[in-house]
Amino acid sequence: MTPRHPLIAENISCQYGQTTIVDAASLTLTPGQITALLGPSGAGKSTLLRLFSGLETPSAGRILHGDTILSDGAINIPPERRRIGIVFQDFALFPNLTATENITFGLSHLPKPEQASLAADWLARISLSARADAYPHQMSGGEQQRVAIARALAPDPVALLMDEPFSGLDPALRDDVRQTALDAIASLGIPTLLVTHDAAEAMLFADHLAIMREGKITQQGTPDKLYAQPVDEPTALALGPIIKLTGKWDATTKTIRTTLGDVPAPAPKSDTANIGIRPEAFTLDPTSPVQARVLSARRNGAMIQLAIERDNTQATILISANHDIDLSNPLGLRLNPALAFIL
Amino acid sequence: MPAFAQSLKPKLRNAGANLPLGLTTLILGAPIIGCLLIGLLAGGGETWTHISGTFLWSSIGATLALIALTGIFISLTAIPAAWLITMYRFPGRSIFGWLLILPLAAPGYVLAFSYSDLLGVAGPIQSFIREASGLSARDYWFPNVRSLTGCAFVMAAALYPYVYLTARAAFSMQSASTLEAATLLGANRRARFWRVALPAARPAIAAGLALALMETAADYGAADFLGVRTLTVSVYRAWASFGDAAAGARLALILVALTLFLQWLERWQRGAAGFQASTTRWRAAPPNKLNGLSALWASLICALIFSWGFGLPVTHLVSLAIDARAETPPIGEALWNSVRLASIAAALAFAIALIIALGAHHRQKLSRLASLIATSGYAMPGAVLALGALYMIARLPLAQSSSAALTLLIIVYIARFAAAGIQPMQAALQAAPRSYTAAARSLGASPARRILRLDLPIIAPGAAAAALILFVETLKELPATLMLRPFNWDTLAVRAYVYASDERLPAAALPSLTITLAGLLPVILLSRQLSRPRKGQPI
Repeated sequence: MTPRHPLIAENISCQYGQTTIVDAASLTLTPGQITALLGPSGAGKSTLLRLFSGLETPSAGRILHGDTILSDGAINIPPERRRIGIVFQDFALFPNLTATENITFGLSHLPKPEQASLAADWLARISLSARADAYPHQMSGGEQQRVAIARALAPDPVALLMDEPFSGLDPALRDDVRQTALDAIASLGIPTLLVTHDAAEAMLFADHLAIMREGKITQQGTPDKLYAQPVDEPTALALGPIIKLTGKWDATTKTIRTTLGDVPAPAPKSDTANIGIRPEAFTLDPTSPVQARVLSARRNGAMIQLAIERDNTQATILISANHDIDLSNPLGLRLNPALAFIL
Repeated sequence: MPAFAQSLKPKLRNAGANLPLGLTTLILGAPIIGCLLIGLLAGGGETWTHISGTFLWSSIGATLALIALTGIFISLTAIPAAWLITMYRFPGRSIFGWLLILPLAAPGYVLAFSYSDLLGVAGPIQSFIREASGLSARDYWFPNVRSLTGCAFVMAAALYPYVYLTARAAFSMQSASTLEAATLLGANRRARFWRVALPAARPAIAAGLALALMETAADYGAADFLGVRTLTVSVYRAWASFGDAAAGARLALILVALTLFLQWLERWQRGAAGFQASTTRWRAAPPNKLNGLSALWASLICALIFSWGFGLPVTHLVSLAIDARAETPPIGEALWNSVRLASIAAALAFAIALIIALGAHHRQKLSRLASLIATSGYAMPGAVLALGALYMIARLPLAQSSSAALTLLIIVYIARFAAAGIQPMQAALQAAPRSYTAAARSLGASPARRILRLDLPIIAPGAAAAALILFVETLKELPATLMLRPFNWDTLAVRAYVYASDERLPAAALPSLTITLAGLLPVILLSRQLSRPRKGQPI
C-alpha cells in the first residue's frame, strides 16, 4: 500500500480570461478523512477538484501531495502522473469496455493475471461479480456508479476525488450505494474529497466540511461546528434554514436578549445585534419566561414543526415531542444557545 | 527533471498534436484561399468585361430564380410528407418512412438525364399521348423539362430529403403534451399544424432547406444539361470556353457570397430560439390512425413524392439501360477509375476528418480553424474549388502531368467533403460520457493509449458511416472532376455526363445507375439508423 500523505491546496486560484473561478482557496484533504466541499452550482467546487487532479492548471498558488509539489508557477505534473482517482458525476465509464475492462484500465502496469484477479476482487467487493462482462449501457445507474468507484480505487490511488457522485442516482438507491461506497473509501485511509451541493449529504458523511461561494472557501471545520457557528448568513443558510432576529446587548448578563431567548455573546460593536437561530434550538419548558402563541402545528418526520408568535415576531421552529400540541394556550420555550449565533 | 524541462514538455506535446492539424488546415484551405485570391486580384480582365456586359446579371437572376422555385417545390412536398409520416398511421407508412429518403442516393444530374428523356418529345409519355390522340408533337402543349422550372422540378426531386429528414426529426421531437395542450385549447387539426408544430419545427426546416438550396446553387450537371445558365454553369464556362480561370473565380465570389447569405439566413431564422429543449417530461406523440379516404390520400401523397424523387426516374433509367444493353459501351474502366479515385480521396478525407474530430474533442486550438475551413469547403461548389486549385498549382513549380492533375483533384475532393466525414464522428464522440478523457488521464493513460483504446473504438460506428458517405460523395462529384481530370481519363460521373451531353442518353443510363446504386449504400445505412431508436433519443 502506498504511504498516505495529505493532499493540500495552498491559496490556489484559477482564472478563465477575466473570470476568476477559484479565488485563493486553501484546503487540506487529510488521509483517512472524507472532506466535503459544499456550495451552490457555479461556486467553483468542480474547478477546485480539477485543480487537485491536475485537469486544470492554477493561475496562482500551489497543490502539494505531502511535501511533493504537484502544481505551482513552474511545475505542473499532468493528471496521468498524479495517481489521483476521480469519480465523475456522469460516471464517465468507457462505453466500449466491459465492467472488468473498465476496472483494469488503470492497472496496465501490472501483469495480466494480476489485473484479472484484482478486478475480480473489486467486482466482488461492490457485489457485481455477476456483471463482470456487462457493458456500461447494459448496467443500471447504481451499478455504473459502483464500477466507477471500483475503477478509481483499483490502482491504489494516493487520493480520491468525487464530483457529485451520487446526484445522478435514484433517491431510493442513493442512501444504500452512498453508505457502502463511503464506508469502503474510509477503510482505505486515503484523503477523499466529496464535492456536493446537498447539505444533508455533506454533513452526514464528511469528517471535515468546507463551504464554497463565488470561488472562495468561506468557512471550514467539522460539520457540527459549521452548523452551530457559521461565520455569516449565506454560510449559515448553506447548511439549513435559520430564524433571523434582532437582539439588544445586556451588559449585566453579558447576553444578547431576543424575543425568543437570550444568547451569551461578547460585547457587540453597537447596542443591537443580528442573531441567527437554528429551528431545532428550542425545547419545551413550561417554566420558561418565553411564552409564545402557537399558530399551527404539523408533524415533519421525527420533529414537530410549529409556527409561533411572540411580541409580533413570527418564526417556524422544530421541536421533538411525542404528544399533540395544545394550540389554545401559550407554549413555554427554552432556547439552546449552542444553536444560536451572531450574524 | 529540472523545472524548465517540466514546463517545456507540455509545449512540445502540444506542438506534436498541432502539427497534423496544421497540415490539415493547409490542405483544406489551399483551394479556398486560391479561389478568393485569384478572384479578387486577377479577375478583372477582358473576359470579365465581356461577362459583365453579357450574361452576368442573367446568371445571377437564373440562380436566384432556381433557388426560389426549388425551395417552393421542396417545401410543398417534404414538409407535408414529414408531417404525415410522424403524426399519422396509414397503409405503407413504415415503408414510405425510409423510401422517401432514397432520392439522396441519386445525384441531381442523373435525375435530370432521366427526366429529360422521360418527359422529352421522343420519350415514352409524349409518344403515348401522340399514339392515343393521333396528334403530332406541334399540336399540343407539354411542360418542357429543359427550362428553369424543369430544372427546379428536378433539383427539388433530388434534394427534398434534406428537408424531409430535418422536419421529420423536429416533428417527432415535439412532446405529445404540447399538441394535447393545443387540442384542449381548442385547436383543430389544421391549427395544430400551422400554429404549433410548424413554428416549433421552423429552425430545423430552415437548416435542411439551407443545405438543399446551397446544393442547388452549387449544382453544375443538372443545370447545364437542362440549359439553365446559373452562376455555377457560368463559372465552368468562363474557364472552359474563355480559358479565363480568373474571370471564373470572380464569378465564383458572387456564388460564395450567395452561399454565405443562405447560411446567414438559416442562422437568422434559427435566431436565439435554438433547438427546442426536450425535457424529462417528454412523451412521444402517438401517431393517429387515419381511416378510409384520408388514409388513401396519405398513402397516395407519399407514393407520388417517392415516385417523383426516385421511383419514376430510376425505373426509367433501368429500362433505358436494358433496352440499350447491346450498344452501351463498357464502363469497366470508368468504374475502376471512379472506385480508385473515390477510395483514395475518401481514405485521405477520412484521416483528415478524424484528425479534426479528435482535435476538437481534445480542445486543440487549431481544430476550430480547421473545422471552420472544412465547413466552408463543404459550402463551396466543386467548380469553385477546382478553380482555386488550378490557380494554386499554376503558381507552384510542379510538372503538368496526369498524376499531378489527379493529386489536385483528390485535394479538391478532400476540401469539399471532409466536413461530411467530421459530422458523424463528432456525433459518436458526443454520445460518450463527457468526462471519459479526464477519467482516462486520472487513471494514468498516455495520449497514445487514450486514442487507441478509447477514442478510436468510440468513434468507430460514426467512422464507418463517415467513410461510406465520403466514398459516395466523391463518386458522385461532377464539375471538379470534369475540370481537373487528365485528358481522356473518365470516371462514371464524367462518362454519364459526356454521353448525356452528346444526346446519347441510353448510353448514359448504365453509369448513372451504377452511381445511384453505390449511393444507396449510405442511404440505407442512414435509414436503418433512423429507424433504430436509441436510449433517451426519440426518433
